[in-house]
Amino acid sequence: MGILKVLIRKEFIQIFRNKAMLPILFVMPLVQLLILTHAASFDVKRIAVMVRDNDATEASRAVIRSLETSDVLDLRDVVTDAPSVDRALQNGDVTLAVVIPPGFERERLAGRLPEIQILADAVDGLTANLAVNYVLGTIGAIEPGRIEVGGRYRYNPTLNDDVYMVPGILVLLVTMITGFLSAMNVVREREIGTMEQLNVTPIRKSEFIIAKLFPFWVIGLVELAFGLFLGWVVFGLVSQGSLVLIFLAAMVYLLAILGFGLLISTVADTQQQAMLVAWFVMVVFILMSGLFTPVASMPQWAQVITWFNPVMWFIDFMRRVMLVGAGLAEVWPTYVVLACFALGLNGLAVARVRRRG
Amino acid sequence: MTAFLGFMRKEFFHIFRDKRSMYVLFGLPIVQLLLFGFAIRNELNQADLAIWDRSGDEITRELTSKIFASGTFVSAGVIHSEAEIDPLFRSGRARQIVVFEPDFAERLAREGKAHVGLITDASDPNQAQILQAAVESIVADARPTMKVSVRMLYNPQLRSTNLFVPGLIAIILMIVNALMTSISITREKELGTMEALLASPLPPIQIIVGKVIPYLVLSLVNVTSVLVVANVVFKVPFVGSIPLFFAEAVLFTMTALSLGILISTKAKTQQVAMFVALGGLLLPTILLSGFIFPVENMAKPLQLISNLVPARWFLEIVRGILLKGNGLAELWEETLILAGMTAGFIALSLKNFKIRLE
Repeated sequence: MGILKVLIRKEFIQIFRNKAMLPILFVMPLVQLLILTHAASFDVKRIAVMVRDNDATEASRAVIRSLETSDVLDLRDVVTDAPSVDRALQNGDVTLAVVIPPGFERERLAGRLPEIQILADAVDGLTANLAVNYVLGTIGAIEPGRIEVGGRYRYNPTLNDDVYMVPGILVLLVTMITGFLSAMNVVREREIGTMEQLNVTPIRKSEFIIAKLFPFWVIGLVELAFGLFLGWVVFGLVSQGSLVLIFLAAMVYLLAILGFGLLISTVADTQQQAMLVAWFVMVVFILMSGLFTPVASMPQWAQVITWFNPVMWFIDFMRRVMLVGAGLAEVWPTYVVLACFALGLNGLAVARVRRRG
Repeated sequence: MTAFLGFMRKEFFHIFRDKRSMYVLFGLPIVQLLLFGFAIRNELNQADLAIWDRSGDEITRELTSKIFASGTFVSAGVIHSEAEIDPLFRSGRARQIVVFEPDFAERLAREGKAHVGLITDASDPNQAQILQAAVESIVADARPTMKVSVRMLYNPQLRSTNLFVPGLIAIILMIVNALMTSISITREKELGTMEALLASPLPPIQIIVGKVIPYLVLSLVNVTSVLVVANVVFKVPFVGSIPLFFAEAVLFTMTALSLGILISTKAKTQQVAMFVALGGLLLPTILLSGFIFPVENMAKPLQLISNLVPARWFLEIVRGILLKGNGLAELWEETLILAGMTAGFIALSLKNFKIRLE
């Protein structure tokens, strides 16, 4: 036991001797939380529109006025010619153009359904769709005698998407830090030749691995605590569920991620390689985790793939515990799954650890 | 010159003999492309929706069938009381509930208006808003007061692959050129071989150029392979000029390379180089460039910051060329900004590059 303590101390000293490490550990979370929560939004706040009015009557002006008064729509220009509409769309000056044809008012007074055309820049299909819906709703509202639609949002009535993003980002944060650091660490010893020195010392393989991973496990937990603290200070987010549940899950989850890092360490020859492989797997994990795009929107076969993704499990866990207040009764399966990941990944990695150059 | 060519050859060997990294560099973009093409969707389909019809007349039944006919929603059954709402949401069996008020058809005929209530699980606010907008437009469409024809330009089928491919190209160029370069130069420092290089008769500038050219070649080959797969498998269009695209890609590659060199002049270990490149370059490229999340949706301060992210301008250029067929006439501003940034970064990294070791 004595030698293990010394080894762990040595690892801690080595990690924190690097002056850049502390800022990475404590500034990165802050920046990520601030940026990610405010950047990761599909919520359309401002849509630039223009109108081509070829009717110039009271009815067409009513349409224009309705667009002007909308909070979301930003009416940039009213023109009468087609080329300036094409140009504005092509340059990306506006997302959407409304074309009112001649005879719009006449048709309406005659009791027929006059036609309006909407041209949308659909490079971003989701935004285009939302923009068209907004315009349809706005123009439709000038008519009396219609069906009103009123909405109520449950669990997050103000549609505050900062809070929704926080738990997922915390997971991303601890995963990246512990995953990358552990993936590069053992490789580093091999690359700069200090592995040989370790080989001639009387350390057992298990002691070596535990000493290598333990500091990152602690760092990951501290990181999570720091992130939760920031979430409370910056966004006022207090977990609805129990913190004990969260930390217990994090302890198991971090074991899985460390196992993953160790596994990469055993296949890579250089730090650059380790980093690339870690990046590769991490990107796939994150894209398939439901962090940015909901798992529910994926096709069925892709949803099945996400079951093999520990990041998906932990993000789902954190959201349910922190936002909805789920308890042990609802989330216990996550513990079982995470424990399986931890056992599997570490088992695989330990079997592969080779200490010889 | 021969010495320089020899050095460059050595660098090529160094990079290409590392088979594992090659697999990742060429495999990752393709895997990402496949994921974005097949699995990742930001649009919505098959949302579970329950109906609470308190009127049960002709019109409400018509609206109900229109809602499910749209293909966006799947029926999660009907409910008959307020008390049934919460369990439905908690268990995750429904995302949204549509409530028709009593005497719906009568009110519509007598008072000229009737009310549809929507209750949405907003724990994912983005999705909640999209869900509500979808029902609103279906209901508005059911009783039209005017005909509206919508034309979706540049991406008529609203495929998200078309949106993501340009972003993927920007990320590949950043990973290969900024991340790999900074790590590879820092590696020489960490292993102590930089000393040997500096003591050689090659001038320092040639050492750097020799180190970055293989990455430049690698990244352009990489981008081409992604474009071909995107075009063949996902039918992502290439409307604009191919030479213009490659000219812009080289320009952006220069931006990334100069950033990579700048990082390596500062970082002492590969780990530090990696974290700086990851946090300082890759994350902004993914998050602040408009790759997944539109810049217009961001908070104001972040929109200002995004102006400083080179990938933001490159994305506009690539989307313009690929999807809209834009030429320099439309893209000269973005190109100029990118060129200005690149010149600045190159000057900065030259100024910081030290020929002597500390």
